[in-house]
Amino acid sequence: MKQSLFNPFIKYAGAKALAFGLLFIVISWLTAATFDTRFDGIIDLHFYDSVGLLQPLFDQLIGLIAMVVVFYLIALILGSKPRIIDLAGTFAYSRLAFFLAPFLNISGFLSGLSNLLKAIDPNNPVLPFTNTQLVLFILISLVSVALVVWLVALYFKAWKTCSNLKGNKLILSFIAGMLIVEILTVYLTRNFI
Amino acid sequence: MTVQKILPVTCPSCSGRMKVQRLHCNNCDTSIEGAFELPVLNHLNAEELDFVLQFVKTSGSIKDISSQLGFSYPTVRNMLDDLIKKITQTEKELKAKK
Repeated sequence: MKQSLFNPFIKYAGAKALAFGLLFIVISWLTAATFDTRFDGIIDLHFYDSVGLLQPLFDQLIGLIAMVVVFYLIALILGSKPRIIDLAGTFAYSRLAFFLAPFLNISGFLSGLSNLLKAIDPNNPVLPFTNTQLVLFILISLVSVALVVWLVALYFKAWKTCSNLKGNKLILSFIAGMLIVEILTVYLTRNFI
Repeated sequence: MTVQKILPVTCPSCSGRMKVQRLHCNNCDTSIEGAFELPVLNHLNAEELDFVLQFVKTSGSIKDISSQLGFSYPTVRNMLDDLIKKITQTEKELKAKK
């Protein structure tokens, strides 16, 4: 069970993982479009008042392509030769962690709270939530953090399986790759999508 | 009931590499004593040796071993790479001893 959740790539990679991954991406595109969510960044999830139908799909495809390209180049620099289909498959499969996350914004709950927070007067800072809203906000925040941790854990295992790097080389290359891809995808999704 | 004996390749006391000191012919009862180095493949553990056998039996097809073992392609590729590293390291150590 633990292996299926945190390291499915021992068993699934390549085309099979890519097929599952694309399915997760399509489901999360539909849920994101329904609940006004954008994936602007590879570990990001933001709720808006309204998003375009295709925006969440392009966000994810740009993220996936950027991850594959950046991590493939890093692998080549470090003398590892992963297959592109394995990188694409395992990184796409990792989106499993996020495919139901847009449900957190059901009925525009989170984007509504976000608007309330933005409207706070800095000279008279009073929390504009009811107790129920506050409890729900804390619970949803905890779930979001858990999902991000799960997503990053899956990305890490994907990179470990595909690159076969070990020790500091593995950890540092993962951190560097994630930073580059995050900056790249945030820039691309916010400026061109 | 037959007990499957496993050739110990590392010393249980200091974890050093073991050598063969005595060989015996069951047919004519001849024994030879000396200090014979184990072949490189004998320095692998049972699991690794089994993997090598599977690899040879599938004509070196990683795809076939993947489906036999139920592992993904890169997992098997990594097992093979780790094995290659271990064999190369063992060869170097054995050469250095000579």
